[in-house]
Amino acid sequence: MFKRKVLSQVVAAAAVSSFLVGCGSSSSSGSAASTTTDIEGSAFASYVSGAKVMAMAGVNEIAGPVTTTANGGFKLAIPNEHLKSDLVFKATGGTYTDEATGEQAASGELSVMAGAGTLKAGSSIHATPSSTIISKLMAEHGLSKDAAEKAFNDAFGYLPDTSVAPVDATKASDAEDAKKLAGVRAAAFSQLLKNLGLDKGDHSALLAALAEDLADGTADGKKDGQAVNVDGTAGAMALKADIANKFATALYDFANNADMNKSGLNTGQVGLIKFNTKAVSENYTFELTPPKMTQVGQAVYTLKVTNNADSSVFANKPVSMTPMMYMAAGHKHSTPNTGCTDTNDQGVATCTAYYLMASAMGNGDVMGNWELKFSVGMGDDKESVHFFPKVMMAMGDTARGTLKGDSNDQIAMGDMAMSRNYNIFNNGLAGMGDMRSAEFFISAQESMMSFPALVDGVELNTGTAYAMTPNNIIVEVSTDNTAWVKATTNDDGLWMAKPLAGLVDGEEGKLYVKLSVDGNEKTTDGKTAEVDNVAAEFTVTPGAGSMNMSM
Amino acid sequence: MRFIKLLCIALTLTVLTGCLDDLKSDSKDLRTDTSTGGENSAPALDFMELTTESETVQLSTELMSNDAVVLYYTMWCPICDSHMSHLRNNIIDNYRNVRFLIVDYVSGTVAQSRNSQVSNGYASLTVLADTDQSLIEQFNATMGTTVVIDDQNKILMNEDYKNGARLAEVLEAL
Repeated sequence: MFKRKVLSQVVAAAAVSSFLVGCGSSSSSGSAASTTTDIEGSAFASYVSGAKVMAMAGVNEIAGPVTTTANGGFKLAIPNEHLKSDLVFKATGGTYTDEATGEQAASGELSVMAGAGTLKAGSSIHATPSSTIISKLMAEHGLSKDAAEKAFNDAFGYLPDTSVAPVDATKASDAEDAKKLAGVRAAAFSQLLKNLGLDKGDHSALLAALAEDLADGTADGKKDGQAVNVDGTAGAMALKADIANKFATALYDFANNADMNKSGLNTGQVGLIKFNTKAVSENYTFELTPPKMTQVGQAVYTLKVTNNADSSVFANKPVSMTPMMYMAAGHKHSTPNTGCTDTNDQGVATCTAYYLMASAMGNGDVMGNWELKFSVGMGDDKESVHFFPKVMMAMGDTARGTLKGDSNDQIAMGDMAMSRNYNIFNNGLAGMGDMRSAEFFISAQESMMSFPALVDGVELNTGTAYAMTPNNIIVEVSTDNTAWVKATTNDDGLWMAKPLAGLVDGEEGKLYVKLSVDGNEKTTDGKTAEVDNVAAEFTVTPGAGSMNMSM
Repeated sequence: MRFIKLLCIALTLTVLTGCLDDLKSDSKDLRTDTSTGGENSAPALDFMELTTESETVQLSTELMSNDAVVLYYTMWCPICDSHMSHLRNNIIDNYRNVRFLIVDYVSGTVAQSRNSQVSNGYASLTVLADTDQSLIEQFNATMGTTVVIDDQNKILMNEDYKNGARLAEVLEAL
């Protein structure tokens, strides 16, 4: 009896030991003795529960189906010989919580392509709306992997990392940012459905339509010239020509909606939102032509507006422009701009922004997203569209200088007071030899949202303790910091100085700009004017800089 | 047999302890984050960076002749400008024996950093061109982060500038 008792204790202890020895190591059927390799992943629209997932090599089902868990998770044992082939993981059915509405939705089909040889023991793969479009482009429209990814990236501005498991963007989590971003991007497709007026149940139909649209390489609502329809539950709806911009706007809308987006990623942290040049509102089409290179400093856009009903031009009408920077750090601010001219006879307006900061760092990391909102009409008839330009750091000639107010020329910033900034933008040089002219735009900062042109007689910070009405503005420009040329203005914030002598074509030179308002010289450091702080310095290279104008 | 029994139990306990170590409710955070300051932070590691005027600045050297070093991290945005303007007009002149250094971690090159510095009106300040973002990593910093390191290499503060009040309080207590 005693021996049996001891023996049973030994066996029990050994069993527990052997169980616990396994603790902490991952189980894998991909060992040398196994003929299959376990691949884990998820189906994610948000988390798709109850979907059937199978792996396919071409038209052959090689593993599954298995049913996804509440978090969309699945595990499939893939026969090792198939790991050398392109595989498609396809999830059909199941339900998820639609991010844009918060309602339960039935999932149709999600898929993801795994390239030959990319999966091994421990790999994971996740089927998302983004991966589904790419997968469909390859499997149903015959594009190569490179072509499919290029078409997707050109339209939406990113490529999904299919090894990253997305997390629900409507819930706070401590997941890493890549997982949150994947979740936000998935949510943007739900937002797109909502923005298009489609039903949440049309998710799969929309993804199929987007893939069909992209099959010819361009997201323009057409495939080979033929309209692409979303064959949804409520009938067919044609994709608009600005579908790529509609997605960008949906991403912006979801990221910017604090009630829905609980991911912790703000509008400045969702990667660079793709800049598309066409946007369609209910009644108008807006086509934006940017400058050759958009960088910190002046950016002149042409905007053509046409009526959707008959493609006629929206002639001789006012257009408004509102720039806004959504910083990755969570702040937002506007930038100096002169808005838009009225549209001309051809429906074309000229709109000018003066960017204060770039969208991305020198190494490409995103600092934030710029939004340009254009509106036409008034009141209930007002229609607006959004564009998301990428702004580079200024290269070459100095694009912007800054002079600051002293202790008597301040503005409020939160509970601080700070020197008012006078941002001086270099619009470029014109002319030749010693008869050159230089144009500058000067704005006076009122707040983080207001940077109006500095104009004689136009009050700044009206109704606040920092109100100031400039009545005597003097701008002087020099090429040697000694001989000064007084600039002239048409009271529009633009100042022209000429003639400027001493600059040589192809050689780096300097422009110095002084600003006096009502007898007070503005300085580079906001302190009392001294010899070395009264002029903003610009490096220019006549005839070589991108900002040289032909006037 | 008694020996075998004890051995098995001992083995079991050993394995059990090893498996559950990370799950004990009284486990302490054993990380040694030296970047974020506070009473228990490790001393700031020495660093050497180029300024936008191509001069070398080394933390240890600066701390030999100053009571403290203040780092302010900028991305040359309007928010950063408001902080830097406030710093220059309300803080710097009050602490003559403190070295104030602006860290530009966004421009990517020394020349671009200098361009940004001059364009934004801060030519008179010393700007470190953190082109490889090593200073961002070292102090786990981001836009607006303000770090104070005293002459004993202690990180007294590592937080957002906000309105400068906390910085002034820390510098006042030096």
